[in-house]
Amino acid sequence: MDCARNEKLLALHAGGDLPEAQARSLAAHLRSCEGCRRVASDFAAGRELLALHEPPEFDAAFFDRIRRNVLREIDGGAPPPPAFARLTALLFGHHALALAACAAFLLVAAVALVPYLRGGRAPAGDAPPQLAAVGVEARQENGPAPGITPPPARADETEAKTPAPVVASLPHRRHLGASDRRAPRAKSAARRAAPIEAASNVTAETAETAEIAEAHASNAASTCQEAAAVSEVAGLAAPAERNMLRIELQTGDPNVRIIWLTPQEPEHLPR
Amino acid sequence: MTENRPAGEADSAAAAAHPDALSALVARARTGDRAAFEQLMVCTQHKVAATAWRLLGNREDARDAAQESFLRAYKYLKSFKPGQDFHGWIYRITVNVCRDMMRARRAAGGSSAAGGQTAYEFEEASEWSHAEGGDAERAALLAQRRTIVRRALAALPEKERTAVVLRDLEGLATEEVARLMNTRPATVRSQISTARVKLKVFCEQILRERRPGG
Repeated sequence: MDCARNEKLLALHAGGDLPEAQARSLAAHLRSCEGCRRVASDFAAGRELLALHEPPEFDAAFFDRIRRNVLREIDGGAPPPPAFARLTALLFGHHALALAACAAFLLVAAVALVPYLRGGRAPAGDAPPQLAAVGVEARQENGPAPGITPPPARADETEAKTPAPVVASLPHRRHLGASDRRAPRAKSAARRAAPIEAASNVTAETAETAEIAEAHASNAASTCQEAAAVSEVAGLAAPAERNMLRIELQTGDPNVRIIWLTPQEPEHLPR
Repeated sequence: MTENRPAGEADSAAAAAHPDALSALVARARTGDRAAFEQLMVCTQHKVAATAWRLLGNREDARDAAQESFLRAYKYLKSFKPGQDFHGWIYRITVNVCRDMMRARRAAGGSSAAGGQTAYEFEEASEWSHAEGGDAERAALLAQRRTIVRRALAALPEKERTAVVLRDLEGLATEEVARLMNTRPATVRSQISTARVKLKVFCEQILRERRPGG
């Protein structure tokens, strides 16, 4: 055992704070080491000196004053009626600020979200199915294979639910020649035009949707023009008004159909 | 309630009260019985004040600490579990109050007394008296040694002083000291060891200086 490092062990040993094994080892060392025994004796003397650190005799007046002050504090700080105390704590306690901050945050969030919810929800709810229908039609119209028709199921479904939309256009006379030249594709164009279901959102709040609908309507209109021309040539349909272009758009809602009458001139067609 | 006899005798009588009587007092005090709480204070005031004095070093701080301890006890009396040791409970409150006062003292820049003393404001032996015997020389010697001890304690860092007071003067187990100081027992043992070494060195130095021809 290293005597130079024993001082702290001896300090603990003096107060009985060493673990048992270590205490036995140190006790055995002390039996053979004069220097460590002297140090251990000094520590014992120090503990005896420390025991002199006794408090003074506190007289009765000392304690009377303590009790009097405590009771005065208890009586003077008597809590208000519980309900009032709770209300006061709620309004003016340290939780009030946190509650006010939460309420303010929620209010700001609600105000910020209202325009978003108003502007995005209704049109978004209605548009997808309509746009999907338009998109399907657009793809079908612009697809690689000519004369794309809607999927049979969709067509059947549409026919079962609603009467087939009549999409007809009143082509200008000078278009007849072109239509005549495009006769081989007339039938496919007619098939393509007949069951067209186009949707447009003409509400002012969804300009983008309206633009898409207009684009599809223009496609439908041009297709209708071909189909009508073909049908006229084939004697299948005879538009009543030769000077007006009638465009009918079937929306996703089977009960809603948009009928658009526009002058026949190309420049008047919706872009 | 003013008594002519020293307060310690009243406390001893009250402290010797049957534990059931103390539990009954606690139960009444929890319902708001002011007189019952005052009796609880009488039962524990000496122990509270003595502990506070040992930790803080002077009577004024000990009195303030005792008042605060009783106020906290009154405030948290409803959380006192029936069957719990009331003496141990209020003792822990007292130690925490003293530690808070030492911390506040330290934050305020040490002592408020003139002269810039340390946070441990000890009283000189001449400022108070013990119930000593008639031997003046012996009394003077004892007073001198007490002054040495108090100065040695005042020279210790706060945590070491608290650890050695609770362990060596209050007689608490190392684990209890660790719990009160919110630290580990190994840390407490290290602090006690260091404190005892410093106390020994300090006392040896003072005694050597006062030895004739030393």
